[in-house]
Amino acid sequence: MALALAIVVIVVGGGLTALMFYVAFEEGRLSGSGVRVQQAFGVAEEGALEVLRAWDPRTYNVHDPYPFHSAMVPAGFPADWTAAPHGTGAYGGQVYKLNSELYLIDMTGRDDWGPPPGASAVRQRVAVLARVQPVAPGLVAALTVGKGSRRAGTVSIAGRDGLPPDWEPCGPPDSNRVGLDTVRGGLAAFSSGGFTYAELASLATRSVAGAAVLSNIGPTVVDGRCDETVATNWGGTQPNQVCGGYLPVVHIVGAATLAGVDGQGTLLVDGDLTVRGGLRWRGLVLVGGALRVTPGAAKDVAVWGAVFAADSATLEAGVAGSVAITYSKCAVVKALESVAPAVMFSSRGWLGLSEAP
Amino acid sequence: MPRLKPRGFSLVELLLALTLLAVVAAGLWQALDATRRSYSREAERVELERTLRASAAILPAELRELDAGDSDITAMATTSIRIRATRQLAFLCTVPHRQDDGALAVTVRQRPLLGLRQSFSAGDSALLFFEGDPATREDDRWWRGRIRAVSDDACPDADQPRPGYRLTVELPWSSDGPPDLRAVTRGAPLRGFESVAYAVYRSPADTQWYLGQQVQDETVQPLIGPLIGPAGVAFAFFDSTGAPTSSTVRVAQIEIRVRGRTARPVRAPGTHRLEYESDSLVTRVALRNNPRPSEGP
Repeated sequence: MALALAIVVIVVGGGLTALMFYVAFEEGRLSGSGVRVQQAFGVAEEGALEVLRAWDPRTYNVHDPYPFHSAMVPAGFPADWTAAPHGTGAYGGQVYKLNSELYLIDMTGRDDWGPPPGASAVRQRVAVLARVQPVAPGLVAALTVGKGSRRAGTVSIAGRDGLPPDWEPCGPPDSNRVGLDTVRGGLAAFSSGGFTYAELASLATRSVAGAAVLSNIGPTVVDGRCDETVATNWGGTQPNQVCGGYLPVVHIVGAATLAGVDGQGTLLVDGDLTVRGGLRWRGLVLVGGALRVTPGAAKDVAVWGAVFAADSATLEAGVAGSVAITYSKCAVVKALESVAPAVMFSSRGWLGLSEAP
Repeated sequence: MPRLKPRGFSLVELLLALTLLAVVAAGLWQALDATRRSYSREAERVELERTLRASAAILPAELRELDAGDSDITAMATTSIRIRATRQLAFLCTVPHRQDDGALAVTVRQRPLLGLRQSFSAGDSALLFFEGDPATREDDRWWRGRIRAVSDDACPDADQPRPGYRLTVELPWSSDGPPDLRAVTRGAPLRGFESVAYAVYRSPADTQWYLGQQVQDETVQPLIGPLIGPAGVAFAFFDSTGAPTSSTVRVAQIEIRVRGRTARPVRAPGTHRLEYESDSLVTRVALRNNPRPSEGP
């Protein structure tokens, strides 16, 4: 009987002791879990801020906005993750371009716990709203030349702030600018939104060899998406169409002749630029030499934004054609926004997300 | 006559065995009882720790997203706080237009739609981002309004329409008249929020003290507890310099001190007295959405 009693007591006592161990283990696990949640949260927040700190406009800015384009960070996410500094974990996520000014960074952090790495990691997710650093055009004319200009035919150079056809307004219009400026030194006077010619050239997304005749340039849409890999795709001109948000920085290394170009963004030409009619451009055109517009088969030349030439400008419209250079704050701002860094919203730019995507 | 061999136990042996058994049984019982009490106490303590950790997870997550400078804290005291808590973050897929009755019609995408709630309802409150002049950050604003109506809509994307919600938003225009709608761009964010109060309250169900959550004017729900009493939660408010502040618009950090107790009294080791065990946890939260100094123009 004593033996039976002892066995019962030992079994029950053993069970209770095991439960106590279980409770203690659970307590330890929960405690550790709290620390890991905090760690993963810190990593997610660090990842979002790191994306902002190391913002690369060529990766995030120049493309069509969501839903056509969003960039993974790192590029191989979710298979690949970026290790957080100090070995606290890893982060990865997605950057959505909402429009030419606004971005959403959706970042997941993990504490990188347990073998194999990441298999049982705790994850936390945060979102940060960012906007490009504002760019004030600070330009004074639609056309700025270094050594005078000559016009012939139907040529219009307008300093009144205009909006390209089908574009939506982007804030209040600028006060009127002058049409033609020949006294400020042409391209040497260019500095807009804090960028110089050299800085814009260093941010070029498309580099083209000079001494070429460039024709049939226009937006290229493949399977409903803007195909930025096509060399002749220099962006669209309709904001609400595919490629309408693609604003490349095209850098022509040397002189060039354009004959049939439809595009937007920033066009940099190191040497002389000859346009044989047929140019529609929204944004900035910066010419390191002389600008010559001559009548061509494709007749009209229309630029909304601003044009700078280091040398002279010769603008000749054909009998049935026209040349129009119209100052447009919106077009200049959007071109410069495609190369500007991003900063967090000045208020309400942060959102905690409860679960991984 | 042959003598019988003695069999069984003598009375003395039996008494000795029973005495030993009683001593062993008593010892084992005591050990067993101590183990049971210890288990019960530990289980209560684990529950208490869970309560405290829940407070460290739930409250900071709500408070981090406040913009005190834009009046997200509508009331604050030592044991209570009422806030505008973000529930949705959505993005416009069309430019808004003003209806004949002055309300604003906007369409937001159904994806991505971030936050605790994945839809909108009439009566929700909203904050709409006004970009203003893209050449400066100084005029960026969040305009507050109320959603009057919600219906399904389509976002007219260039390749194909995608699901959206059409929201009719009533915005209280300033005395200068309605804002310039050119300042609201396609892709602009819209945040949905609701008024939420956190305060210590006594549950009529079990008469224990809890941190209660009250959404809008609905019934208070127990969220964290039981607490040690009416002083079970204490909020302290600090400005950006770390000094205590009583101004709702100057709050930059909030300290939350939660004092919980076990749901049932437990027997402390070495005593026969039953009493509640208590513990506390202090968390300090920096408000992430307070206005940031401008960078650049």
